[in-house]
Amino acid sequence: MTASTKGAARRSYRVLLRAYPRAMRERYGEEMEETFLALLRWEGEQGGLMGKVNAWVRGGWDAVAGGMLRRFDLGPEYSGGDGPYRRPIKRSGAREMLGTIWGDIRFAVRALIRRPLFAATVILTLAVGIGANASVFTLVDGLLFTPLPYEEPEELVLLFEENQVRGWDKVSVSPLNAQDWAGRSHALEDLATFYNQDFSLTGDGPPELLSGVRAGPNLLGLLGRTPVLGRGFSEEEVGEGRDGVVILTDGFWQRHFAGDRGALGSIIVLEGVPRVVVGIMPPEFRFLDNRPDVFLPLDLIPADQPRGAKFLRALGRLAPGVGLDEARTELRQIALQLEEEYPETNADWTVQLISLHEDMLGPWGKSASLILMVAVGFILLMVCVNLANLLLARGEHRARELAIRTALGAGRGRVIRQLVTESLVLGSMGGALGLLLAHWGYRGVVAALPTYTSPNFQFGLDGSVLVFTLGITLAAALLFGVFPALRASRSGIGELRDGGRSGRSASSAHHGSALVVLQTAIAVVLLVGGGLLIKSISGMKNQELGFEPQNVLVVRLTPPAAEYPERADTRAFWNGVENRVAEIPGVVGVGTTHFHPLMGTTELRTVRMVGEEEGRTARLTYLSGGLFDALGFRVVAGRPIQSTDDEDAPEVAVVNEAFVRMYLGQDVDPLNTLIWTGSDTLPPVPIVGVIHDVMEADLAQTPGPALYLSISPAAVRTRSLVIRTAGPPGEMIEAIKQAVWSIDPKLPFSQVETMEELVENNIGGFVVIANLMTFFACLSLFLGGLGIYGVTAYSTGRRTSEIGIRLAMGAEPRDVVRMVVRQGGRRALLGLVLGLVLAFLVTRAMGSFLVGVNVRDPAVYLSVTLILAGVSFLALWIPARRASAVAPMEALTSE
Amino acid sequence: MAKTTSQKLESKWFHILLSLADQELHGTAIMEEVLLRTGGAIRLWPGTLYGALRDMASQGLIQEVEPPEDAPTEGGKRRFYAVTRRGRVVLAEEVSRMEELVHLARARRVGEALEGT
Repeated sequence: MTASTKGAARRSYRVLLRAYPRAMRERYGEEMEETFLALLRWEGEQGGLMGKVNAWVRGGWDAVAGGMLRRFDLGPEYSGGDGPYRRPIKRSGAREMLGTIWGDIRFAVRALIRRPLFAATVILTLAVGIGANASVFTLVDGLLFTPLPYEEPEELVLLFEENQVRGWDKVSVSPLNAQDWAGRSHALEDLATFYNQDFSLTGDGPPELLSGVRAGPNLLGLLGRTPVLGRGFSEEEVGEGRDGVVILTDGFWQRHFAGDRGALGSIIVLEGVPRVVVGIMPPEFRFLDNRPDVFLPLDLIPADQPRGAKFLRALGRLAPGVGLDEARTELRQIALQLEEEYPETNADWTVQLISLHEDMLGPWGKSASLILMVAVGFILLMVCVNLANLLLARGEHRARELAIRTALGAGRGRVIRQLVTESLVLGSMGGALGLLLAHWGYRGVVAALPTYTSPNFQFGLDGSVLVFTLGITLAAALLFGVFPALRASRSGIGELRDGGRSGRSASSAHHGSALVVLQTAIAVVLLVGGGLLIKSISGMKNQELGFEPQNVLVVRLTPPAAEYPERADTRAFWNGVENRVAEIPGVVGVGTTHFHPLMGTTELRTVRMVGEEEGRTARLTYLSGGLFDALGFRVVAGRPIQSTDDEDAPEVAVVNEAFVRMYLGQDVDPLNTLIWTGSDTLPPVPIVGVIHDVMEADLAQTPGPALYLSISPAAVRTRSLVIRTAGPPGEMIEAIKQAVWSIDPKLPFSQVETMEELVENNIGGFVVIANLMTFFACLSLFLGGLGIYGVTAYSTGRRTSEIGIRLAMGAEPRDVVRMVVRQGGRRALLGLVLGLVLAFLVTRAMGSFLVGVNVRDPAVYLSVTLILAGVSFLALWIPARRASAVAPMEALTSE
Repeated sequence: MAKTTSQKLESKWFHILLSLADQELHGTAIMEEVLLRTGGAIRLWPGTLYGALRDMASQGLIQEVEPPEDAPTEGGKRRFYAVTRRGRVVLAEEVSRMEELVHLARARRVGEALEGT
């Protein structure tokens, strides 16, 4: 035994010893631990792992039961008298009961050891069922039930702008609107705005790209989390030029300053501007859904911003006692007022309120968790059904034993208690093993979660998981144990009379078949659920993206404002980078854009057709001419943006098919249309091309109207560099870095991603659910098949003599097979029909996150029916075939 | 005779007294001595062992004694026990009760068949 396992054993045993009263523990505790460790070592030497298990079971019982008896002063009583010593005169009631329970348990363990195959089958099956449940519950517990690590997290809400007329939701917020909401609302106690920004850190070491948050001064306080060292931001530090301060997260502090407290008050250079470190956040602090390195004050004053510019994120805290709906109603009212006051910018725009927890879960998090939980619960139910079947069959084998015990005076209650104890022993062993499986299982599940899952969700086999596992273990043990125990205990003394030939097989088979119907139905539901998800995912993978993700690299770069102050500098930098990268051998296309597809961020712009009063909203993408080729956008009419569409050329626009369809209609030739793309002071811009719709936001959302403008005149600073390569893109990263550094050797590089990774990540969450559902569906199919097989094999076994008579009377073996299959087939068919109806009802809940698949997809239902029919037939045919193969004479003498 | 058979000493107490008959031992050593002597048949689990030691001490069958000078402590203090006079009497009575039982059985030739095989 190594020192560490010994330490762990000692600690575990110490927990058990807590059953003793404190006085006893203090006096003997250490010595008891030592004695136990000595016994544990001895048992291990004698019996290996089984010895150790025995030591834990016996020693554990000794500690807990002995401790409870001492604690409640139920120890042996001693007579007085004049003998040489006083002796125990009677055992107290409690001690007696504990004694009998212990006796029952010992009896059960011995009975199980005599049938190791039976015991192993039950324990393993149960372990799989409980392990799967505990794993999924760990996930669900972390996602749904563990509160977020903020003060009063249920009061936190995210606010977005929403335009129901255009179908835009979860749009970023305009600073002025946010200011008005906060000022006029009573339901909101506080509202803070922020946005994410990357900063290049320069100084002594190599340049580094930091992820940061530009935050209003009240953001951290609103979360209830303040710096552990130093202070937060003040109102005076908000605004460009005044924001020379920075708060570090613990991760960055440790990485960059090695946790040195002297960092407070020191100066770091971000974006070429020196900034004083005024605060350091505590290690356990997590920001909403990303892992920032630094917080900086907002660099803008709302009053200086146009009301139509929507680019901030907004976090609010509800006033105490105010519900989400109440706050929503009030804020929508305020939005209506704003619509009247600022019709130019605010027409059709309203507020969207989402609880922070719900937003972090994502649109599918909650329903997916519940669906998985239901699926895995069904699995456990099937396991229990199988085990109940097994115990029912075994109960008949034990009928004689139980009859003898009854004849010897054991009451029915006593027999039931013994049988249920056996189930509980089996259950707790299965539960313990299941917990062990879950210990690995949940890691697998959590590791497979999509990368964008918020770091705020923490998973682990904590107390609530243990309680849950204990609960389902008990429930399962009772579920599969009580019913067979009730049946088995009903055996009378009659069992003994006619040599144990029981006439109960018919009724047992009847119960068995009811269980088979149930199992088949559950299997159908799970298979349909799994099938729908698989189909949905393959649909997502194969649906038209509007771009070709293969062999495409994306990297975000920001030339620092301090070194590239003018628009011309930025343009020169980006043109240089594009040209230099294009020269690399193996690069077939290169372009830049301010937001690339599936990045998760988009910008909206209100546009107006010439001759129309009403503004319309479109997603705006600035891009360079090379991007069309680099991403493989398909031009369906006119021409793309070209590199000649620069700041000196007249401005042109490209739109997508959705834009034409929704805003222009079929009668208008888009290529002859002029639109105003921003302020009315500039001349309208001609549409020169139409491209096929591109999946911009995410794969589950149909693309809306989109507008593409040349990036060169706008001189956007932070851009995505998009590169299409001829070969595997991973090999090109180094050459691309060198090309960029030949323009600016100090420029920091962030993560280089491939477009394919982005697509995968976007499907990620669905893949996890679908894989789990598929796994559960296969498991259910296996369990269902096993159940049908077990019941059929058992009932044909009981009917050996009947079959023998039939064969002796001239029946052909295939007649016997047909008979057995037909009888079992009726049950399977009933289960199938029941299951299909149930699936029809249950899968409706999945509709919210199925893409491109109808919940009633006939192909899925058909294939499930076929698969299940096939498996059922096999599970019926194998035992039927075996039954028909017996020799008639053998069959007749079998009893 | 009838009196002694009715005063059967609990078997765990008997074994504890026996292991202390010719030496002073601490709890774990008592457990190990009983374990080796009975070939592993009797395992004194800690709850049982220390409960018994406490009860036996309170009835004056054994008493705590100072640990020997050279005894290793293995980190914590260990309590050593010795049999009291009273304990020796009880042990002797139990042994003679067992002898009588064996004697009775032998008189009826119980167990001879087993020894023969």
